[in-house]
Amino acid sequence: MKFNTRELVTMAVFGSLWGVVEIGLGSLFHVLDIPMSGTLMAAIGLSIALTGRIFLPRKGSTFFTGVIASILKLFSIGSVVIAPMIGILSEALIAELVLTLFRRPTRPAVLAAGGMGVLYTLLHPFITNPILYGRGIFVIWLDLLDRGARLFGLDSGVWLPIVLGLAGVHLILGILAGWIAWGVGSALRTRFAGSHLMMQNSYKQ
Amino acid sequence: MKKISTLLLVIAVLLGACSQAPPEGSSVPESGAAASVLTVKGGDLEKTYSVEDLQALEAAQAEFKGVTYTGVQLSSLLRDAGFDPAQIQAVKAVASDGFTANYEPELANKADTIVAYATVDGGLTAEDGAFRMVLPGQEGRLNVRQLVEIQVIQ
Repeated sequence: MKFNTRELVTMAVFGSLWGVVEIGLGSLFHVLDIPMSGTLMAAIGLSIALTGRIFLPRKGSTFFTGVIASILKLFSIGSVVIAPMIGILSEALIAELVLTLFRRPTRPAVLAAGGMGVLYTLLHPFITNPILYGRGIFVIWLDLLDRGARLFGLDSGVWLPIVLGLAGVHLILGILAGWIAWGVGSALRTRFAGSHLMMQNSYKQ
Repeated sequence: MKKISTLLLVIAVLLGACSQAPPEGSSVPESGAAASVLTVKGGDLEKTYSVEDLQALEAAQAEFKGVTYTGVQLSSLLRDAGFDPAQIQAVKAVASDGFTANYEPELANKADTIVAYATVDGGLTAEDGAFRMVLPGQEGRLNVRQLVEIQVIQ
């Protein structure tokens, strides 16, 4: 996969946008202790990356957008950035893999990529916390159940409805992100059709 | 325009659904109503402690964010309540507003993991409540304030 300068600049624009939103809104959500802030940030970030994919339908462009966003995340002030950086990279990689499976960034592909990318945030602590903070899987599981229990007003002992509920909310948010990306990306493509900003060879994979 | 309105409505409903709801059937008091009793429970065992009860146990000190707290080691408290610290799988600290933090056995059994009831300079602040967890060097969310319950998972 080789990108020309115009494609690299396009990816840099969308990656920077994702990165700036992560730094600004992500930090604000963190300070305000907004519930599910990581999930919301993943949905917003993926909607930007997927918009970029529709605008620049090249294999690998979504992942590279995530790489740029995660590098920008390094510039977050006063917060831990390693876990969010891994999160951004993983979300972008999963979205990229789903889009690759569908071959073309069609509407179902974009919705699935958003859904799977955001769903990953549910698993993210199980991967990063043991490595970065030495936390045990069982304790991370308890944290997940507590979070779901508070969110849905359930007892943390009823694990199945909590897990299904959390997975459902994550999937819906991800699909919403894909839906927004499809709408905005399509509008951008129409707006810039024929412009020098658009690739001549659309859907080149 | 219609599409955007529908989208915003869906987002608003989802965000509303994501708002923090108190656990159903929870007996924990509302935030602000400082509970002066700490319950330690797990399985069939349950014991409640007042500040005076904790003061009767061996005192320990730990520092967090430049404040030195006085309290009892969590492992000592668990032993006093009838639990074997070597047999626990996890410990959950519950705040008065339902917030929770879970600890691995290694963390719960650390000598400087304490349940504080005072600072070296005097009592705890109103924000801390009657009891709070103090885990030096750990992230803020593990240092639960307004502590009302400790659950032992065996």
